[in-house]
Amino acid sequence: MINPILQSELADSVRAIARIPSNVPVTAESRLVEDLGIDSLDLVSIVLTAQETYGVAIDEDDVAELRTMADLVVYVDRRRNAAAA
Amino acid sequence: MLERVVVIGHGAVTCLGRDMDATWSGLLAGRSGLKRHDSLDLDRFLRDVGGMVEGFNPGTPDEEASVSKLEAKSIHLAMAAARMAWADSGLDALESGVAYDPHRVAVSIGSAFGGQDLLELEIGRAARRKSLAYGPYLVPGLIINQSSGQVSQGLGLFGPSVSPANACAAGGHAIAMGAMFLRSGEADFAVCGGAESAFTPPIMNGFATMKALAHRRLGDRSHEDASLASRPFSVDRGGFVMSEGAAILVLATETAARRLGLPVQAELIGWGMNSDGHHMTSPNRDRIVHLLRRTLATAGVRPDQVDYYNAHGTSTVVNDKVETEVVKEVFGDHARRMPVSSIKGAVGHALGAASAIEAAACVRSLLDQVMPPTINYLPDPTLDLDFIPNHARPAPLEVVMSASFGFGGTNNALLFKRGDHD
Repeated sequence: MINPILQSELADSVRAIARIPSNVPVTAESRLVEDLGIDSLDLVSIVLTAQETYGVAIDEDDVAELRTMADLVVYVDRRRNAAAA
Repeated sequence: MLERVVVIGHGAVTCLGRDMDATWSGLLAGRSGLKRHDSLDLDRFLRDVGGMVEGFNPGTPDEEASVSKLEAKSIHLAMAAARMAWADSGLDALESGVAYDPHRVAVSIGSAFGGQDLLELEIGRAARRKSLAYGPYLVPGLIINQSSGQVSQGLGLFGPSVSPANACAAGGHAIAMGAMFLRSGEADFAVCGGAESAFTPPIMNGFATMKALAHRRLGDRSHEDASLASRPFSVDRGGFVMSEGAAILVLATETAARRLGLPVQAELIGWGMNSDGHHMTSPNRDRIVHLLRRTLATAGVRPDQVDYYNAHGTSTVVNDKVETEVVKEVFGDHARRMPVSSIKGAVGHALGAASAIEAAACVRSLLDQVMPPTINYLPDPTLDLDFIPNHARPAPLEVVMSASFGFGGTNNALLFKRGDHD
């Protein structure tokens, strides 16, 4: 189950960082590279911003495994829960 | 026969105006773009006066969209000035690969500090994350050659690109290097100038502790009116005022400009660069005299043929004294008649962009046949030249000279001649 609030926040962050045009939808199913045109530098920037915003620790080796917005949301949510535990 | 180098376009973004027209009308009106800025809060900065280009920061609606991921303001300023200059030249209306060969367009944009503002931002972000990881756009935005890189990318130019990092002479060096690409036959056009934005506590406070910056002490005439802080050649000058901005010239070989029917705004008849080999920051009078004489001689211009000298004129005690001595020695009796002015009273000292802004002002002087004033001027009896005090002055101008000197003992001089006119 994807956290809808986190999904919305991360979608806004992704849109801002990667300068995604307003006519391109950012949904849980959106593929980061193919649909949103995010490159490797954008992805690192997105993850670092999430790290700052949510106070989560992120392993840079995990970043390459993120394929879709849902992957990103679930990953950040898990790290956040792990930090809180 | 050496190929002649001409100016076919120019553009600028300064604290006086968002384009060259606004900057130029501000200069001629004797306005200052310098003021106290809330963002220079005295908890972090030792000085609160500067010349900022407001409403132009990365992340604002006015940012240059094509470089928006690079949060170094100097890149945005360079991009904006380059687009203006490119449009001003008329090359933007012509088809690349047909009218001109993009592989034969050089880019040469200098800066003293590059993306130091972005470095400051990223240090703060890493600290907040409690992480050793820095943003992936830090390095691309920090490197000094990224302005040249983004202008090449944005305008589709594939010739040689360089980025002189010659402190406060960087922009003039960049123009000289652009001219050298044309003269050597490596390029037909050159997009060249300088860009700077370095309002960070380490840079500004570093200049302040060197005693290089003006200080609005109680009793100083700038205490109540910050626009009076920069006053080149004045008796009570006390340092420069930092500013930011960018200016770009589009140079062409005369052959290329005539082939495309592009109007010649001015001719760059001479340029020179040399080194003091003397001190890390203090200028060397003899070396600068040598440079100016060599620049004149190489161009075949007698000192008494120079109608106007656009000074480095930083408003520091040392620079303005040494530069006055240099002008007297190089120009002899003609120095008594030759008007001299510094626009830094109005636009401050934009460091690596300063000499490019001054070069653009020289081009406008030749086009409009008018010289910008030295504003905020109060005479210093020991500096006895005609500094065009406080009011612009029309004059028949055929040849004008501009010179710049940077920390590290690096100097340049540019010599412009009037271009096409009725």
